[in-house]
Amino acid sequence: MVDSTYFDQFDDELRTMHELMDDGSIGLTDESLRVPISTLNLKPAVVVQSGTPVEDCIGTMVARHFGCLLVVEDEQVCGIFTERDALLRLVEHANAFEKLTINDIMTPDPASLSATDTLETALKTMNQGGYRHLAVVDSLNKPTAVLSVKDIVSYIIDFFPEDVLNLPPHPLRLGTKHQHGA
Amino acid sequence: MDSVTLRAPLHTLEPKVPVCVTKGTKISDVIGIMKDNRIGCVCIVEDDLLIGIFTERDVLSKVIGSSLDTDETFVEDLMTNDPEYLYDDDQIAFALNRMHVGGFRHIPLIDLAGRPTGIISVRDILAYMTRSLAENN
Repeated sequence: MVDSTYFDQFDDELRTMHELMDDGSIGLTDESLRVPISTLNLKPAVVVQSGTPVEDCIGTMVARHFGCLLVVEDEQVCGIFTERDALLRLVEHANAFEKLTINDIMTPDPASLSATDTLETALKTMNQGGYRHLAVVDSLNKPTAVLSVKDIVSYIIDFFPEDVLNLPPHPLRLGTKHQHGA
Repeated sequence: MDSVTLRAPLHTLEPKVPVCVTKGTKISDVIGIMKDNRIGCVCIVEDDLLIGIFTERDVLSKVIGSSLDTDETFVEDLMTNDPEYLYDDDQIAFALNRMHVGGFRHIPLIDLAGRPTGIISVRDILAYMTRSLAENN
């Protein structure tokens, strides 16, 4: 049987935690960004072999709702292909890309990270290069995961569950009669 | 960075001016505009009011590999109707919420009349957060 003081203690701690959060003492700090990216819940990379027909690659991305593919040759990352590449390099081929392989339209030798790199490094790399996805590779340049901008958002949101996740469906807008959904 | 940062209004992010096309614009022209401006998202307006959004995800999933003629297809046929939007005095937390829960990468901002005034991307928010961390530490 559990002692009722256990619950009292728990309630006390919870209360203290809320008080600390309210005055802003708990939040995201520099330290939160110095964690290795392996701390994040990274998704496994969707990988295609060098030389795969473009048609198959697009099919995979659309079916799996993935915005990014890693291209491998001899198990090592040799390229990345994203939705942006599709917009910039594929549309002009219209429906005549049967003869193209992923190598014709991918970005070769993409920027990559190791799982031990910090989130801070990842953010810098993304900001500087304007990337939304980064390949995560091991010491042999084999892909282990993809880090996306959304993974970072999820990580940050976890520090502010009350502020971000527990929101009303629509912002409270006093003084306007404007209805959402116009 | 504390929760106060997230309660700041969206205009703190200095949202980019949205690139808008009118209903009736050919998809081939819309794609040209996206490429020229190097943007991932355009707003579609009718009588100046926001009626839809068209993103590079739509290009990948609806245009590439399909047999449609991009000179004969109009943006309203492929756009997402009535997209989620916010006002520029709404809190940043709401944009994060929409992006996280809805999986959106872009949220248009509109004025009270319903005209698009800005566009917020997930990278704008991350850049802002990294900036506020640097300033506060």
